[in-house]
Amino acid sequence: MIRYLTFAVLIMLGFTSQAQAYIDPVTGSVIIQSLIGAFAVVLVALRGFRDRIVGIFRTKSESEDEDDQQSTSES
Amino acid sequence: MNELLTRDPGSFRDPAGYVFLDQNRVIRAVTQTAWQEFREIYQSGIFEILARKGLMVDCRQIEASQEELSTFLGARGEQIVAVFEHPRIPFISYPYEWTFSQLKDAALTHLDLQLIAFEHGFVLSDATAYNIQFLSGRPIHIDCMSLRRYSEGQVWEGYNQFCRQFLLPLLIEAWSGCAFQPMLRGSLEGISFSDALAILPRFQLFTSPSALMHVYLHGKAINTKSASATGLQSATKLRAGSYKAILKQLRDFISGLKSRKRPVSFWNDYAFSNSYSESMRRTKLSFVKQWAASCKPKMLLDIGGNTGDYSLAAVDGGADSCVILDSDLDSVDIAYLRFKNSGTQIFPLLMNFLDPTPDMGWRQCERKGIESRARADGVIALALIHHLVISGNVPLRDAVHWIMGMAPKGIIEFVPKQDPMVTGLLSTREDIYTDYTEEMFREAVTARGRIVLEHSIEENGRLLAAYETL
Repeated sequence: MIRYLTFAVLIMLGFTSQAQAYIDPVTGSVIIQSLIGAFAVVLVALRGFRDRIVGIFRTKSESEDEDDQQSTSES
Repeated sequence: MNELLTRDPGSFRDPAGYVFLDQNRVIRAVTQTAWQEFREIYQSGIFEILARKGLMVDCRQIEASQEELSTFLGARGEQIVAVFEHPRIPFISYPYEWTFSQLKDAALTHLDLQLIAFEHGFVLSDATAYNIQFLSGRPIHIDCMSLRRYSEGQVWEGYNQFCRQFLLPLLIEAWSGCAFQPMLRGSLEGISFSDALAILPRFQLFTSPSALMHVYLHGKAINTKSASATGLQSATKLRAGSYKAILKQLRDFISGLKSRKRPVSFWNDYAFSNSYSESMRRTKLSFVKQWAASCKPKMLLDIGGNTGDYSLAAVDGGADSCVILDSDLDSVDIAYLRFKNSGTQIFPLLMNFLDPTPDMGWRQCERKGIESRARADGVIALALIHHLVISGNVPLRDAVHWIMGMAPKGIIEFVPKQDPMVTGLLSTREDIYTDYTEEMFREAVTARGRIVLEHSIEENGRLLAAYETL
């Protein structure tokens, strides 16, 4: 998913004009922040989603381990 | 109150307040223009929250009469209306003296501080790496006046600065294997986007979404046409969620960076590949420990200290704190990771004394050279002198007097020509070092002081000499 997004942005950038004139670096940095911010929101959400999925599997495998240990000790 | 307090020559940029220093104190003086906002921030309790988390230095208001306040004057002639005190940082350091791990921890400290401040409705007005210092081995933000109230829709003003002074140097080392320190030393503003884009590998730049955003897209925006800029003016508001997401996303990205590409140096293995045996090493450790126990230095410099074995011996012996100054990146990084959570007051920095950090910045007063910052009462220079004399062609007498000029007490190790380490250095050059003898070494020491304790290591002919200056 992240790779597709990266690819989409790359295509988008391919149509923008090349650097020709200098403007205050901070101005450029300020202007681009809303776009980067939107992109960051998606990435943070994806990361949260991934962590949740990994968390579910980890909890499952941990509880399975506990069950295994319990059954071993009981037997 | 401030008879001896003088304004730090590096404190002039922000008219909101200025820093005044004397031997022991750090005073922050707030001007009329910033007072109302700063008082509200101070009273909100955010400084205590950040200080408790170890992210910002303590900031405590001190009572001062009108008469006392009138003796302070801002860099632009402003009147001072309130003064605050901070703890003094024992040894000021700069990002070009830090290793990858140190800069990375400093970057994460900045972002952690921003994230917590943001939760409480505050932001930092800038993102200069020079506002981070190391206290007890951990990075901490020292400029409480950078904290401002967050207003809905505002952009991160320090974003460009953060990338240039933290993110780009880290990426250049992590992905290209280039040491960032010479580049940062070459430009106090940080590494430019155009340089970073030329250095960083294209594949990683275009396949990492984080790099694509913060480096490629950001760099492209900085160099874009002004016409496009005008067209995008309406897009200069940043939603609170986006502001926070940029900080969080950068934190995730930076915490995963590792310095793997830079070639490993010879020196990080030095502790195992040097010319003395385990018993000689123990003798040397005990000599250092015994010396430290006898003179108990408050601030010790360990010049050429490698990964810090002898610094640790000195601290165990009774030295209060120790700064390791070594020119090898790997050794300094190992020492930093070794001591940062150890509770010992040992702090390593990157420093090549044949090419030391000079005075830099505005009027060459803004960022100080190493010798004016290195206020020490003890120095150890073990297995160093042959590098200065033979690798650096510094006259022996000059090298000895320079070390003795760093502190009134110390230990210098003389490594003779028959030692395998010196033989190795001489194998590729003509032996023009006629002054490099133990006799001349003793003469040089006694010209400026006296040898109070000495130990000859019979196995390799080295001499450990503890001196005191006259």
